[in-house]
Amino acid sequence: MTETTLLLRQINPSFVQQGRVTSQAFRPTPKDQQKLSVYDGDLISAPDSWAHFTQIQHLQSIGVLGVTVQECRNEELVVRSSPEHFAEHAEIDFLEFTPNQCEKKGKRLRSAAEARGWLHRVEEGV
Amino acid sequence: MTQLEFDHILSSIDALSPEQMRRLRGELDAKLATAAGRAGPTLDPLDVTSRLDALRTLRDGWLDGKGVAPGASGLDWFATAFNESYPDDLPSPYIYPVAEGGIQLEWSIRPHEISLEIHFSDHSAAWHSLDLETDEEEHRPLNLDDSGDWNWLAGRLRALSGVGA
Repeated sequence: MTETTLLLRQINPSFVQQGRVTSQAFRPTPKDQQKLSVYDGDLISAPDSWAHFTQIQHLQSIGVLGVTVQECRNEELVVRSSPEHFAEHAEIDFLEFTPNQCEKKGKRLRSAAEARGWLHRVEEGV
Repeated sequence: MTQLEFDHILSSIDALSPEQMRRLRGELDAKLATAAGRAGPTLDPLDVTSRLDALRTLRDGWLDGKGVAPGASGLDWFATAFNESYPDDLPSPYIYPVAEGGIQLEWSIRPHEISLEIHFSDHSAAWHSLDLETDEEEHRPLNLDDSGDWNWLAGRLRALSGVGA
């Protein structure tokens, strides 16, 4: 994993309205234990990560957005591989930050991902 | 189409998978948009009432098996409050469910990214705006039972968006 590695984030269908993604997609929710799950883009393509998420893990994703390791570092976020889940799994660690700080970082990551555009897209959600 | 035929279609919907329901909704939305185009002005793509109605279809577990669905009474309250208090000339918000069961409104008014998390339990809200260019932030708790706080909200959005400036 290098600073240019793309971290692939699966987007829940309900987190998209008229093509716009909520910043919630880029900060942990209570179930995430302050760590945002992503796929290591050096190890798996965006379409393959979507297939793994939806068909192997049986979870819902409307598509894939991405941020780089460097964009996370710009927000003082640590990125690490976490292959104990599965080989391509990585996580962005928000553990050190308050909810307000997480909200700000989520908005900045959303903006970076939005500027990059969809890496894989299926359809609009609820 | 007769009422009987229509009722038959409705009774078939329960047998559809979520994927098929979404496809059906897309088809219906496209037909409605075409019909509205023939009949007159089109619906605002960010129409708040329609969006809140869509969120009513969510069920517990919507977020990777763990999201809490927004409550119907909370959505009812917010729909009424929003329609009564949010000025028509301001940009419509994007609205998303929140994992814990509420909703969050968002606006992208360059260079500002704005969110307003709505808490159904006590009708409070949390305002946060971030200027992506200067990193300047603004946090403010709001009471949406207070018309003064709705006025503050409208004033901030008006200032950030330049509406009526």
